[in-house]
Amino acid sequence: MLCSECGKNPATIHIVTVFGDTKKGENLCQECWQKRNAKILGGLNVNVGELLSQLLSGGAPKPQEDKIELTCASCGMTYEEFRKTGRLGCAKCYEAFGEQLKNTLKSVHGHTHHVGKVPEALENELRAQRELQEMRRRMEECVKSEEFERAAFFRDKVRELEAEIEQRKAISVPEAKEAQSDD
Amino acid sequence: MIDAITLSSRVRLARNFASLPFPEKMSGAQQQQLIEKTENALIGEQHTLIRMDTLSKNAKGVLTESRLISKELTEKDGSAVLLNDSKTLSVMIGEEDQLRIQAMLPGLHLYDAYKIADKCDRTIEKYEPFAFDPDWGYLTACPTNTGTGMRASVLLHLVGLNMLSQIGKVISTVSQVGLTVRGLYGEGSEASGHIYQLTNQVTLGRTESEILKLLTDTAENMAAQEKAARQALLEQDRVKLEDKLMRSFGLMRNAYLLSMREFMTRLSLARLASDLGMIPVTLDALVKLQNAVSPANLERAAGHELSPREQDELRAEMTRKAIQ
Repeated sequence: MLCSECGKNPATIHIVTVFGDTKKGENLCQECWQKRNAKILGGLNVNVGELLSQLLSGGAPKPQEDKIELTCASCGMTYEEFRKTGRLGCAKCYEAFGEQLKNTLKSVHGHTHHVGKVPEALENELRAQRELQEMRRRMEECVKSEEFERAAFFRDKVRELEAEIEQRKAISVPEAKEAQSDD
Repeated sequence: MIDAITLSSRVRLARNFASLPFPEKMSGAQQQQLIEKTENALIGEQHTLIRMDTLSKNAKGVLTESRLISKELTEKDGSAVLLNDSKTLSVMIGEEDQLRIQAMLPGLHLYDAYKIADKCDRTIEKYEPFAFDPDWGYLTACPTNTGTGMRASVLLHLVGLNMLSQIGKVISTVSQVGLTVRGLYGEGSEASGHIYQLTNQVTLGRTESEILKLLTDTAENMAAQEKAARQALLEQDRVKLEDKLMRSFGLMRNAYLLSMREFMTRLSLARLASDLGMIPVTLDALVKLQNAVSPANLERAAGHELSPREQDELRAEMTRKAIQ
């Protein structure tokens, strides 16, 4: 199912907007959901005047009655359901409730990034990604402290790792296509 | 030989196949697929598959008391467990997560237990990939396990720290380094027989070896403090301590009714007496006795269900015979 907003990306989040007695369902991709989320969370100040005028004219419902219900498009688990049971329905729930879970994970573990064991099949790829991040960080540090020779050394490392990652992608894309054509 | 303070080590890995929903949203057919996948992944590894719905209430109780399975597993429809021959490894299927790979060893041997669980994890993963995210690690039904998906724990007998009223201080110190201390049967259970479970709270943002090292170092430290507490008790008033332990042992040896609660308290003091060489009973014999007189094992020995009163009577009888 494609995203009902952009029509390009696959939809992974199902949103139900409850507005008074009416309910409106939408299927969104992660990107569009984040844009929408930012609008809802960040846009309240901007719309205060508009909301006030609607309220004073008596035509619009109070803003507290608006409620967004997140649903995982893959297993049908709602965020409310998860809040009650503390258990997720499937791996895709982590994408569907990503923003909310990030806060939960931060408060439970004090961290939001995994640094432990990875599946054998992903070991080399993730090692290169982690190393790339580290080399970029070091390169930026050297530029800041004007150690340009060292910065050049790390820049070359960054290029090597980027090439390695690109090469891996080039190998895995035809593999994925082959797998699709097998279906 | 059994260690007097660090009783056992356990490592548990929570895993879910990417192709199936988590148990909360799983259909009966998918549950069946899950069991088949796990069994196929471990073919040739000398495991026995036991489906929970084929077990009697008593058989489930025996497995729970030996900590090979959790109580939650026995309550789930369509769940199962795979056990290896030496009973050091159990794979719970269809608990809170699709799989809970659990390795257990006597004494303080967390790294060795991890090696057993890790080997099993790698074997299953080769058959079919688990749900994994580069940022969040292994994805689990409850976000409190996300990351490594690993809960490691050590069981410790801390009777001396209890007698010196220092246990509260130890528990609060441990919680400051991201570890928790709870009762023998995990969350919500009380510290029966002064046995405490030390376990990690954090599963995300630390590597497996960092967690295992922190737990091992903390357990070693707690064991050293317990040893010092036992020594301090002896030095404070040896006769008073001996009197307390031997009176309790006398009651244990002569009782005709013993509730599980009383048994665990007396057993704790008997363990201490054995460790200090005050009674001619080995720690090994006491551990065997504890297993034998736990409720499900008692009923198995009797061959039928027992009322609480009948259990207390049989427990006392078996205890008298074992430690005369």
